[in-house]
Amino acid sequence: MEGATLFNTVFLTALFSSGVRQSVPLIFGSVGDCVSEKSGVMGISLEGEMLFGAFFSYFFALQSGSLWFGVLMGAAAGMVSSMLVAAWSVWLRQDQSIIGIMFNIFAAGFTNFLNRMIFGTSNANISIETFQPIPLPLLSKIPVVGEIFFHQNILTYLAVLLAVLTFLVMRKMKLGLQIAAVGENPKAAQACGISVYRYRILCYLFCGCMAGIAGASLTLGTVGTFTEAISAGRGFICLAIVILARWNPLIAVAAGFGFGSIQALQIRLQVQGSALPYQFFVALPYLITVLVLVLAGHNIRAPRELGVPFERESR
Amino acid sequence: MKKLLAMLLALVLALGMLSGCGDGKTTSDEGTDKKNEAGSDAGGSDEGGQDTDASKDADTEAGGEGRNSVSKIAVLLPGSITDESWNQTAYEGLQQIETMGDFQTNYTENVGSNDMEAVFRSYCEEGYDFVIGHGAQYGDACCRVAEDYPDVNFFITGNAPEDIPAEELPGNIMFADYRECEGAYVCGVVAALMTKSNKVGYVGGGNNTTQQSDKNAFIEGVASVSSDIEVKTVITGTFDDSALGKETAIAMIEDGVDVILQTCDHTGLGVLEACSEKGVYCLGYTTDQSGLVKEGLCLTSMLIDIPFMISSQIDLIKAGGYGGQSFPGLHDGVVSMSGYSSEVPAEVQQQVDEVVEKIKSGELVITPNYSEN
Repeated sequence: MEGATLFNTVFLTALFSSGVRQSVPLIFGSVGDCVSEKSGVMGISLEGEMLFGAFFSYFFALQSGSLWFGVLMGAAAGMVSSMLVAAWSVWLRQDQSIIGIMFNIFAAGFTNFLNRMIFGTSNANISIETFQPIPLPLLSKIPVVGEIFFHQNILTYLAVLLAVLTFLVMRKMKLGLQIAAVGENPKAAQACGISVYRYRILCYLFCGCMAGIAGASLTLGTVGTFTEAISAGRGFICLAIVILARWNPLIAVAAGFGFGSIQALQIRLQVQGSALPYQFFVALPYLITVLVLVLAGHNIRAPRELGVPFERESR
Repeated sequence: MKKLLAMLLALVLALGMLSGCGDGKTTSDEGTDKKNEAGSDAGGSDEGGQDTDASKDADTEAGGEGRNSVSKIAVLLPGSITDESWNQTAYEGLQQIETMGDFQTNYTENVGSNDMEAVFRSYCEEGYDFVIGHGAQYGDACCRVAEDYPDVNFFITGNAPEDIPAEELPGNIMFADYRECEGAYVCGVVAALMTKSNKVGYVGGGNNTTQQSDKNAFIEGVASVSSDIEVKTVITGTFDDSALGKETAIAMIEDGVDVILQTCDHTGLGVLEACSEKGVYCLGYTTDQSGLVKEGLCLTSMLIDIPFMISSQIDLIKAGGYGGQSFPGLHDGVVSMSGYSSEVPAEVQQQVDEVVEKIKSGELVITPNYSEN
């Protein structure tokens, strides 16, 4: 179990492969949040929308027998539930943090309630086949790297694809510029004829949709069933990833992968056995996130009007 | 207009929260109603009547005259009755008691440390003659209250407070320091006998005495079979994250582990999922979990029967002289092993059964070991 045997190719392949798997919900969530934060709305309620997505994707996949239909309904559930938050925080101009926290508590309780109402207390019996890994032709043949990145389930590829598309829209298209304008200086944007409310609400719905898919990736991509509070804080990690990635969807992919890999590493270090208390390992991913934020976060600049409700008639 | 709408929405949500709280059966208002009720049928005429026929076989202690009958039972719970685990099992125990005869039952959810004593006292004042504190954390408060109500029986589902010497514990409290670790030890034996790679795994949820004693007993059980078998342990730090549970189990399996015990509720479901997917043996926890994995992979499950532990107290009270400390485990049926899967060969079953018998007969004593590492 010494270092020499520990960090061999087999170990590293398994480690990073697990890192990729664990990063999928984080990538969906943080890419969605990148967009909504760019427009000035914080995605505090990501956690709750993830839960809605997780529950409904599982429910509909089970009913219809189709995983894709499940993912679709998960995305829809995330989006519909985010409407509530969007209406509240954009249209009614309430404090986004408070709405977000309230929504998360509501989502946790409500999905538990639905789960018990529909499946009773022991739904664990009802598990479905999850998305299986699909090796990409040619790419998966590359030694080590192929096994890590190109031997994953379809949601993983979808996550990266959506991240790239989002990046292109945000950086290369007029739409992205308009979204950024809404988040930086909504008054100026409005003066140019951009509807701030509409942009913010649509961006937030996109975020909710992504959070819903993130939830679906937990139930349909990993576990195969819905367990209560399955999101387990991933929504909040996404918020940290977005800051770390400086609102850049591509860096968010890398940051999500980093977090997932550290999580995979801490499990493996525990498996190898250590005299350190387990709390150290459990805290490790979060500790490193904070450290990276402190070390690399000196010149991070958030969208100027992030979290500030916009009043159309204000001066 | 918009502000009005916002306020209305907020009001609706707030009302929802209130009605959620109202689901709990006992509130302080209800408590006062109960008090009046208790006052009207007080005097204990029926209690006295039961007393005479029960005293035939009872060796009543001094000050414990009315203690071998039960009519009103109350439970103090640390959480909510729908948690699918600790609190729910106590509630089920209470329901079992209701089916056993004409009892009046009541419970209070979410009793935290600062109002334990008050809730104990109010139940005693209301004429409840059997009051249960569900968890070792209720021990201290119960000891303080019990001396003032010598005619009331108390039951704590946990070990006695460590700072009070056994002989100074009030005589009308029963502490049930139940031995989950006996089941974990047997699981260790099963795992050790079934492993081919000589690597077995344990996935725990967090930091409490039960979890720690489970882990240590599992390691002990494995070691009792062979000292060559490595036990890999991971504590996930969460009971809710099934996805993390699955990744944990995968990491173990990739390391060569071929039998895994998990004791971490929802996180454990992810562990079972990984075992099912990779075709690796696992051991179930609290309920028979063989249905959650592919046929035969769940070798056996350790069952913990909290409802029985609680409902069985009624007979003990009726037998008289209730109180003291008990250590229910395999012997008492509070901990038991489910049936074996078809993958377990007959000779292994026999060996494991022998271990179970030894623990039951007291030939083999598993002492809970609460150390963390």
